[in-house]
Amino acid sequence: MNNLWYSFRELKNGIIFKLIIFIQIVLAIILLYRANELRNYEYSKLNLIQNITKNKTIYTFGSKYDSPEALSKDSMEGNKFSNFSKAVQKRYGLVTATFGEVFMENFQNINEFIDNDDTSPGDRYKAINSLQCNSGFFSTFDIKLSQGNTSEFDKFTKLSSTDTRGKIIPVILGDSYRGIFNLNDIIKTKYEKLKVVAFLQKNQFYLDKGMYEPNSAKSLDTYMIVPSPSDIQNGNLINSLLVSNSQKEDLPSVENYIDMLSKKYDVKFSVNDPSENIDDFTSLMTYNANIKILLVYIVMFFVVIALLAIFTNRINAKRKEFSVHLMHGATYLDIYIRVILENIYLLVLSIIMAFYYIQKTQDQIAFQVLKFDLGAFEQSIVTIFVVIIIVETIPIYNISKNRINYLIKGE
Amino acid sequence: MELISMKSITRFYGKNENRVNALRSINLSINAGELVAIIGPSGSGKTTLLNILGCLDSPNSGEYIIDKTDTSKLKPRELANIRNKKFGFIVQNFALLDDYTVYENIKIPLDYSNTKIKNKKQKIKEILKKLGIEDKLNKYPTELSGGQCQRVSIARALINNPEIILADEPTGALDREMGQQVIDIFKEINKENKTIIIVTHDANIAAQCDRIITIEDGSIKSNN
Repeated sequence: MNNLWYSFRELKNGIIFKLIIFIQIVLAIILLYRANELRNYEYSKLNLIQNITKNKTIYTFGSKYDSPEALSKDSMEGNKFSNFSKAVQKRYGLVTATFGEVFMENFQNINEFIDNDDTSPGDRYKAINSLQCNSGFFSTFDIKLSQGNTSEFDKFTKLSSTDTRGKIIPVILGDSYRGIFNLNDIIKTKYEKLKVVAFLQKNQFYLDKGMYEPNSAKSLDTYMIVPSPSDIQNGNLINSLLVSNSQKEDLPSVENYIDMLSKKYDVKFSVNDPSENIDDFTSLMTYNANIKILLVYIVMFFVVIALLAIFTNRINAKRKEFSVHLMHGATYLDIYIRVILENIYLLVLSIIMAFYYIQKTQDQIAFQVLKFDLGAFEQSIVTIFVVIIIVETIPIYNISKNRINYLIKGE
Repeated sequence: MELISMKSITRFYGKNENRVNALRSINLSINAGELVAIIGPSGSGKTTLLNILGCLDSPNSGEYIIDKTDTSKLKPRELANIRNKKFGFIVQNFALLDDYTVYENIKIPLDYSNTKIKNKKQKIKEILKKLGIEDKLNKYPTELSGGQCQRVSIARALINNPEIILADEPTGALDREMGQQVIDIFKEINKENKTIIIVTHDANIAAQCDRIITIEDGSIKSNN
């Protein structure tokens, strides 16, 4: 109780120092949070890429048609593409996923979700980021759900666009939508009605068309995943990825197989292997993640030095007070607890301030990360707390090595 | 009745060639109600002895018993309790905290002694009245004279009604007249069967005590 009272009493003393410590801790939390947030983000990307590429090889389809018109003409002709697609899927995974937009009316924080390229100023409906894909998308890319399931979504992808006309479209929302919409909500958009059937976990990424470079790894947090009807998938084969679940099967063997099927179904497709870039890509991702860790270390180094200097100064300035208390019945543990408590008050105020600042500036600073990363914030606070405990131990240990009468006399 | 017993107490600082022997095999016995002066030149070990007596420091070897309690077996919290309940401390520069009022300075020992809040103020008022500075309750030490500061310091030492008062050069920062007033207060306290141990350079003050212990180079040279 004494420690609580004396630590509280101390708050009114040394206001300038308190202010410096307060600002120092606020800055440390913010910087550390940003570094942790980016590091988590880079690691999520990296993990996803490693998950995607683990034990599988991804190819992209290439067109051998002379012109887009020829491709379009063939896609309209009977079930050629559909049959070809089915035949391919007997041996390989086939993922069709294309970025697009859904036109929605205003909702809370809509600006975070807008695809600016497709939104005209003054429109009542705004283009929201979306990804149209088939049912193979989630399993192939190991995209995880936090709520709901994909069964309705999968059923929808089996229907043709004629069958789906007028039906409510099951959609899966990115993590940033949590709190805005709930499971089973019906959302009315410009052209259709949507039903929320699931939410993605935070930091789920997708590789845009299998191109291995960091910007193509897109966070799906602000995306709406929309099912692609089967005929749309077939018409969109050029944007599909062919996934072989075997590392052993080499490109010529896949090429031969696709050539054979192309001839059989009278279509003109080939496969391209983007994997030659993958090593460079994962190296770059690892490098990016490591840079963020280095950033954390640099921030922590300066935080530790600055806090150590301030605490040493403060504790030395108060050693007479500590000594008087020690003389009259306090122990060094009491003094330590008191100093820790003093700084916990400051830490709590700093956390509130930092939290407010981060929330306020989240969409101004973060490039891709739009939603507050509570995990990164907690990591930052715990780190700062541990640093404060350790850093305060050093000057208190130092004064405990002095004789009390020396401390009282200030020698 | 023997209140304090020291047997073969040694205290040194530093290691190897830097080692300083502050106390060398000190044997000392002090009875309850004694008024004792410890004298000796600077650096002779007087303050070190006082610190060990007050459980502010621990000896490297030897046995120190206070009121039948062997201090070497006590944990930091128990030693702190002994400091709080058995001892009152008075030092040369008063050791008053400038940003604490007189009331807050005197309250410190009470805060560690489970005294109820309403009793604290009453006790502090009573002791300040006894020492003739009751009107200084809410003043800061910087607003007081040297003599008043030393009275506050004495009030703080006495507030828990300790059995032993340890005073390190209590008159060192005062003029002769003020110094004598402080010694007179000590004599009054001593009449209440309190044990008082004063470290001093001042032969005149030492002469007013029941017993004078002379320390030189960490050893007791005389004890009479």
